[in-house]
Formats: sequence, C-alpha cells, structure tokens
Amino acid sequence: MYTKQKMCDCCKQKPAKYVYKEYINGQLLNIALCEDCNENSNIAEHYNVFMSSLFDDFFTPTFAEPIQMKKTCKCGCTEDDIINTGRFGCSECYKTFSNLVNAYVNKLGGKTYAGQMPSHVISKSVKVPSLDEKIKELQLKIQQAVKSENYALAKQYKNELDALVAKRG
Amino acid sequence: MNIFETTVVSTRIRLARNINGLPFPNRLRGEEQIYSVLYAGVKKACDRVFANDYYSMANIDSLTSQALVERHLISKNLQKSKYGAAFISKPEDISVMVNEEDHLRIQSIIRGFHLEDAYNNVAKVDAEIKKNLDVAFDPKLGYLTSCPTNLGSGMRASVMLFLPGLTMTNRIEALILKYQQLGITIRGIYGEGSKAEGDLYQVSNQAAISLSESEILNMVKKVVENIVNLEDVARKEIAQRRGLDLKNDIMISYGILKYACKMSSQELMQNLALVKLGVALGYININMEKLNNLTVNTQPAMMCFITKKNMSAEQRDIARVKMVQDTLRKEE
Repeated sequence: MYTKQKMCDCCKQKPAKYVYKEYINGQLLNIALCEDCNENSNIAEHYNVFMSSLFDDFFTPTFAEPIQMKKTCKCGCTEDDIINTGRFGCSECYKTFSNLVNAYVNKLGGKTYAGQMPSHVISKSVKVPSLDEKIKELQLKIQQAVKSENYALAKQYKNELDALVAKRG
Repeated sequence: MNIFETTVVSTRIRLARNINGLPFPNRLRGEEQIYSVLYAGVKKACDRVFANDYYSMANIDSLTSQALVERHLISKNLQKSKYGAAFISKPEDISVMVNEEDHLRIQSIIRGFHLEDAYNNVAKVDAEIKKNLDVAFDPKLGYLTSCPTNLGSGMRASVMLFLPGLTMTNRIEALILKYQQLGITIRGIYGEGSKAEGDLYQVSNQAAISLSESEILNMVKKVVENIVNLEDVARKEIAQRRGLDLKNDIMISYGILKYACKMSSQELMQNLALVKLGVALGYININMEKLNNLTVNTQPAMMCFITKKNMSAEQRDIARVKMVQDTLRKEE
C-alpha cells in the first residue's frame, strides 16, 4: 500500500494503488496505476505509453511486483520523513534506510564506532576487529588504493593507519 | 581559591539510548503498552542504582517542570513531550529522561570539574538498564539514536564555565569559532540557542561516531583545561588594564545586590557575574558555590518553587533581592 494519495498515471481519475518501478540510466522512475487499470488493461501497454512519453522510444520495460509507493519502515517512517525531519523512526530504520545511513557515514569519512561494546552484543559473539586486525585491513586498503591510483583515498587510509599505530603505541 | 574553583561551575554527562523494537519518541502516538514496557524497565534499573522521584510530564504542574528545567534536571524538549517522564535521584545528581528526543537520556550533573565521576554515575545506570531492556546498538554505528548526529557512544560531556575574562576581552567569539572546527561546542547555559547570561557557558563535545567514551572525556578535559588557562590570563589582563575602574564596577554591583529593593533575573545575572569576578580576583570574600546556587535559585520558576508561592513578576523581583541579601548577610 502507499502512504500518499496519488492519482493513476493511466486514467488520471482514480487513486493509484500499484506502483511499478524501472531504473533508467541509473534514475528510478515510477508508474502508478489504479486497481481498474492494473487489472483490466495491458500493463505493459500502459507502461510503454507512460515511459515513451518521457523518453520517446528509449527503454526496455522490466516489471517489478506491485510494491510500496515509497520504501516505508515498519514504524511508518519513509525516506522523506527522515530527510525532512533529520530523525529516524526506530532502530529498524537504520537497516531499512541503510542507503541513507551509509551516505551519512561516508560523509563523515567512513569512520565506524570505536567505543565500548554493550555486554549483550559481546555475548552474541559479534566479531570486533582487534587493533592489529584493523591495522592489517588498512594496510591492505592502502595497497589497493595505490594500485588503482586513488591517492586521495590512500592518503585518508594512511592517516587512519597512523592514528591506529599511535594508539597501539 | 584556584582558577578551576572560580571558573568551573558543574560537569554533566549524558547518554542517549533507545530500545529495539519500539518506535522512537518522534513516532510514538500514545501507545499505552509501549510506555508501560519502557517505564517498567527504566524504573527497575533506576531503583537499583539510586533512590528517585518520578515525574510524568502529562501530570506535572508547569511550575514544577519549569523549576526542573532551571535546575537542568530535565530539558525543555522533555517538558514539551506529552509522553515524557523523568526519574530523578534524591540528591539530584542523576536523572533519566524517558521519551525525550530518544527513549532514554541518562544524565549526571556534579558540581565542579568531575568528568570521570559523572561518567561513572551514568555508566552504572546504563549497565542496569541494559539488563532490563534491549538497547538498540549496531557494532559499526554504535548506539542507534533518533538523530544520526548522536550515533556512536551517544555520549555528550559538558562542563559549565564562568568566563567573565574572555567575555570582557571579546575573545569568546573567536574561541567559539575555533573550537567549533575542532568538534567542541560552546554555548549559553540553557542549551542550544540560549544566551550566555551571567558569563556562563557550556562547553561540550559535538557528536562523533568514531570517538570512544574515554576519548570524549579526554578531549573535553583538555579543552576545558585550555579554556580555564585562557580565562586566567584574560582575568589578569583586565585586572591590570582596568585596575581601579574594574574594582569600582565590581563594588557597585556588590552594593546594588546588597541594597536594591527589587531586581529582574537578567539584572541579577549581570550583577552577580561581576561580584563573582570580584570573588575570583580576591576583592570580595564570599563562598563561590553559594553565588553559583543563587544563579539557579533566583530563576523565575525556582523562586516560586522554593517559596511555594505563585508570584507575579514584580513579587518575584522583590523576593529575588531578599533571597540574595539573605545569602550575602550569612556570608559576611
């Protein structure tokens, strides 16, 4: 089900109930259909009409199962909610909207948590890399970055490596 | 009195925590069973660590809640939260806010410069809460919080500082900008957006996902030590540069406090700041802690709360002066 009242892209008269998605040149485009248009018409035809109006004769339709209008977490939070309010709706949102979380973490330099682990997490045997393991991992990343001539990234890893080496003493 | 005793007012540590499987407070819509799970878990944990008073924001009267805000025991955010609650320790050094921006905000406030002690207080409560509730945590992101800027340890360490020297020499603005770039926030005493009344400032860490609890404590400790040393230099400079003029200003403020018939909260903060500077420079001999207490106890809601009277603004202005003069008389 969807969260906002959107009209059918085909008949433009009834509220849409199904949304079909397609990535075009990396851009996600949606077509929304009402119940009648979805059931009684040839979906591909509607899809073709809709998409071709946007991109002339460029596209190859692939169909998804009817999905939600917008990705929604079980708490009811949507990506728009998070972007508009700057607040997540529940702990599950961090998994549901991992794309946003990753973008945020990368913006902060890709650094991860380094504080104390709660005992209930440790008891679940979550593997926490040791300082030596983190150092080895960074050394490997530096080699790979240099190999691919991404010197800016290599420098960033080098700074992180220096900090860890200093921490180890 | 050394420079730390006349500069550092109090230390506060707070932890932000949320519970797995429950919507964060911004998405709660009055689901009774969620509150009962949350309150029961928090109450059990708090009861084990400290004797406490419980306040529900739905039932609390506005005067009591405002007095709690003025004593920094709850936030303005919690005060506005329909489903908010607070467990406050009897000596008022620990408080746990429920349904603030996060499910739990555990905080400890201690007079003076005691980062480790305040941290130990919150860590005890945190450990007990984790025994009763499934705290949301991700090994890469740390504690999961409503606002992603609090990810990581969910910890904020803040120290309240009295900085008349840096304010008078106009160095505070540059200091605020400098530290902002180094992950430290300096702002007025009643939190975000508040003015620095009475030359009081809160110095705290900005959230950082990759900083551990001990790194935050060390960082804030070093910054505070640095600011206190700069304040020492600034006080000596103004005392030397302005000499008798500064002493005269201080004594006029002291005289106003002793003989005024009524005074607004803002006027009091201004005069009190100069008198406290007088104490720090050795011109006046009064216990600094008593003066610090006055800055909190003479706030509008606290006045009514202490005197147990609902007073008009003018009545408060008169009672405020009386309270100050009683304190000064006892000290002289």
